Amino acid sequence: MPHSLINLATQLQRKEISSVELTTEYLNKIKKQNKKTNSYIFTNEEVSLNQAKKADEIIKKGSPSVLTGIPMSLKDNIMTIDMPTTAASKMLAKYIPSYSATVYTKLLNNGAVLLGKTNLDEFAMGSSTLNGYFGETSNPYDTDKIAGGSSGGSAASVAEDTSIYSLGSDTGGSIRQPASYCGVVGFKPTYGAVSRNGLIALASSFDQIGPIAKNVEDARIVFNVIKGKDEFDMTAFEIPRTTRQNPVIGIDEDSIQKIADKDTLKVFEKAINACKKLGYKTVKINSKYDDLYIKLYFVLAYAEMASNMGRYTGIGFGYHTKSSYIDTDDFIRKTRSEAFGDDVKTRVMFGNYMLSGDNMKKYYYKALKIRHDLIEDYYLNIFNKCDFILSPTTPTAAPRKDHKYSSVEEGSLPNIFALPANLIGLPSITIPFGMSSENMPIGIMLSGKKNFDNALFTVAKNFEQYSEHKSLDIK
Amino acid sequence: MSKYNLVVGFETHVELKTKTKIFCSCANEFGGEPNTNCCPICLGEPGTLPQLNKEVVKYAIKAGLSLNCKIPQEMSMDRKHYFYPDLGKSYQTTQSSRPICLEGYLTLDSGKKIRINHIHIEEDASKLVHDSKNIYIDNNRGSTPLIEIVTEPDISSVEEAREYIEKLQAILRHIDVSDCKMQEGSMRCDVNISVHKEGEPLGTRTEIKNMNSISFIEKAISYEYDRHVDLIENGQKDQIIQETRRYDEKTDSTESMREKEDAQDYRYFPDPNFFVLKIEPSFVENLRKMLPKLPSEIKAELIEDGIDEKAADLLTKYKNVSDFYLEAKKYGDNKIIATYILGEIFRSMETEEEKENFDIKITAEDLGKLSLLQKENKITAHIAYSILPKMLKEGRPHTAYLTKEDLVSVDNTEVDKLCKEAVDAMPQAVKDYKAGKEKAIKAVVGYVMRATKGKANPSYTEQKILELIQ
Amino acid sequence: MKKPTTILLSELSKIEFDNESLDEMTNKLNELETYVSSICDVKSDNEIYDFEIGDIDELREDIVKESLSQEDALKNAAKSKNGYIQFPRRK
Repeated sequence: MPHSLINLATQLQRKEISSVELTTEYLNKIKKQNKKTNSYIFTNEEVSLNQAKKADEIIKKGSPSVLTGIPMSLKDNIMTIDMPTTAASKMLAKYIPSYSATVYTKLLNNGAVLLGKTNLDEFAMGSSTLNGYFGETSNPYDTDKIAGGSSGGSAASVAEDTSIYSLGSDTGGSIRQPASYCGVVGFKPTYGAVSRNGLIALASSFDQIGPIAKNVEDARIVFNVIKGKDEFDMTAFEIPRTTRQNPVIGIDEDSIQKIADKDTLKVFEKAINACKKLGYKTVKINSKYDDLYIKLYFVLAYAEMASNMGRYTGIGFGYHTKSSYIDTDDFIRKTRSEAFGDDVKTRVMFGNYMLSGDNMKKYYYKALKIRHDLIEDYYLNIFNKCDFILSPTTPTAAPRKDHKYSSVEEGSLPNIFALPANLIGLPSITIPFGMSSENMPIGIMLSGKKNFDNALFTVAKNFEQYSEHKSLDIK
Repeated sequence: MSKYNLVVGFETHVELKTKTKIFCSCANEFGGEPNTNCCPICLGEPGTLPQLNKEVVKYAIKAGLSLNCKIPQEMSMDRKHYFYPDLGKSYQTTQSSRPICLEGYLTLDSGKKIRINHIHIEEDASKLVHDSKNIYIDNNRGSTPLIEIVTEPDISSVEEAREYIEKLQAILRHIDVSDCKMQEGSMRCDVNISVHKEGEPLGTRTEIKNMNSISFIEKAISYEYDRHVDLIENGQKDQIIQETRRYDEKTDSTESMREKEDAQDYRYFPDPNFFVLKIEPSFVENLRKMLPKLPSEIKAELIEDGIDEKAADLLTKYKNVSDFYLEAKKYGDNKIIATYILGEIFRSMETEEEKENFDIKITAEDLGKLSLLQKENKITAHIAYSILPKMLKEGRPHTAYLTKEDLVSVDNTEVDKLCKEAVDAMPQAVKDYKAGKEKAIKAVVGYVMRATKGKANPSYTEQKILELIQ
Repeated sequence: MKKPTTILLSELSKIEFDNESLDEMTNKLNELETYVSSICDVKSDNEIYDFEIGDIDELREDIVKESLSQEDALKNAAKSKNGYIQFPRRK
């Protein structure tokens, strides 16, 4: 069994181990392991050990929280005043944050120890963690395979136990998909449950920060620390406490059968069996919008991305061109062209295409309306039948790094099950549940109604008991 | 020339004087050391989010109410995209689809209503200083709160344009949402102009951007009117194109800013970092109750009180003046105070700005009390006017300047006696008056005034003399 | 869509492409547009598209808090002078 948060917290509080010892052990492990997986972009021993010393003092005084002294990592699109924040882009490679994200402040207030910043796709635009400025992250189970993304570094670090838990961000599956590929738990909260202040914006109406952890309980503990209203995010609010007795589980069998591969279906079958063992009633559900998820995401999320990427001009902060230029526009153009990777460029171009001229009405506003219809449809036709939706997290286990997708649609299929939660703002969790024929992890995903984050954790924990996942044991 | 109608509309940006900026808690102050009132939010740094200032919403609603606007129950924020060094995020957060105020009007003295299309809230851009080689950016002004007041093209003369702006300034100053100082940029106007013949459709409009003085606005409108009319008369109507122009005060003319057409696709869309704000009618009603009297209401009251219209106009033109007047009135005589302000005090102020600021050393209470002395005949107007300049200059209360002698009031029985004496002493003047030479009476009054060293009340004296000789 | 639209978008996005990449980008954008175009055929009766709704009480109070120091405000800028961000017009 890998180190879990609860176990380590007990050991720390019984003073069987100190945070400085634990942190040193993890920093050494990162040095070794990062050569294989490249989960981390940046570490700073001095910062980490100082935090660990502080944590040990808090423990000595006898006023620790469960997170005190526990080493963790943050996806490198979360602002940290004491470590660089690069979004894995040349644009921010030398950027020094002048403030910390609300989630980081909350963790530090609980005595957490930051080991370092984990790798991602540039500006979190991608599902592979292959295209960042600081290189690829590999799957700890098989380094020829992808870790998934965009929170690939976070998922890999938890899987390989170079951090006890990590925070990622999920815009269209970016926490859950890599967590599933790497065999760990990943949770995307209800939209607004966690402050986005200090998260480098990708698509603002989709983005949520959430925990990646070794088990459901660990994820729940971390979520309870980072959640809540925040004076720095108007869209953040306090979610109510929720429970659900005898939940009904909805399953969209038709689309799962159509999209998922054999290995995945086999593991998913076990999840359906778990429902029976738990005494959960299951019902068949379907959404009339399921072939629109990716399309809506392309129009709406890319438009928001194009807008959010505007601030990178090289004037106030970030990379700026060293070549000659003739005017302001030329400077901005050269800066952006030199610093953005291809995926960022494509998304900015397509996003602006969807927003420009007649397309604004034809595509953007149309997609906004359909998004609203979709939300309505989920509540009227799906959540009237069930409390939670169960599906595989991804249609397949982690593919090889050299795997080529033949179309834009196919390239987005790994996120097809995850997307509705982002379009609607639902809480959604992935749990590692079994292994593929190639011994790669396969996860199942549960999503609940908005604000039912607590109830979702309870149900997920019940499923977890029946998991046949095999954790890695990297010394 | 006059066969062409002038059609003008205004888009006026007004800086709100809230304590903090529109989306962050930085002080809403600029002009000092550059880049000292900024934070990651107003610098547009990655990961930051806006937090809308409650007071900005209130100020905008107040402005809307005082311009007779409707306040819809929902408003939302939008992003307007363009790249320029004065805009850190490369989009301006503003309102396009659902502005905070709709459909109001401002009434001119003629009774004509200038319709307000809408008022929206938005953030200001940062200040740029240019030299031949560099652009220097000061972000202190970045993200300070603005309202933009957009009229329908209802203005049809240069005089109406001036009156609209002056009335707008007076109203916004009275409700205390902005200084509206054009010369300092806290009020800036974009002016739309077109011309057409009566009964014909509107002509192509041009827009003159960023006007910061009323007299330049007047000149620019006149220039642009003549330019349009000349082009039409010369058969070059097609040369009037919809474009943005700049007014050059040195040459007193306008020139095209030649903006790239394709760069104007602003791609407005709802800013996902805001919620749609619900505005309850009860909230609006509470604000309405708290609104101070508007200049037009105060003016009507002054006229009711016996102040003539022209004086009432001047007293309500500047908020500080009308505040001072209303306060002073509590301690004395309204008409006498009005003559003090519009006479001696305004004479000591050379510029509009000085009148606007109305930063004087006399307190309203002291001026009021002075007027009371005059009203009650304890001092004469002559004495009041002789000490006012000293009070203005030195800032000491009126009591410091009045001698015992000044204050000795003249008993009316004494005046009555002197009047009799005067009539007897000046039979020729009395005769002249009776023959129709009205001015002759002044000489008789003068006799009494001399005898009392100016302390008799002239109008009482005149009255008394007239009684005696009739 | 055709290449001139890509050129226009490249100006709007302030990203420049050489001739070959322009063709490539045109193809990519076409592929994406073709893929999403079916949303135009979806019937939507809804005129509303609000995601989140909030009250006046949730807005920020107008209370001044400390700003960054001038040094911190300028530390990420390419160039600064006398407290201003300095931006050369051309180079």
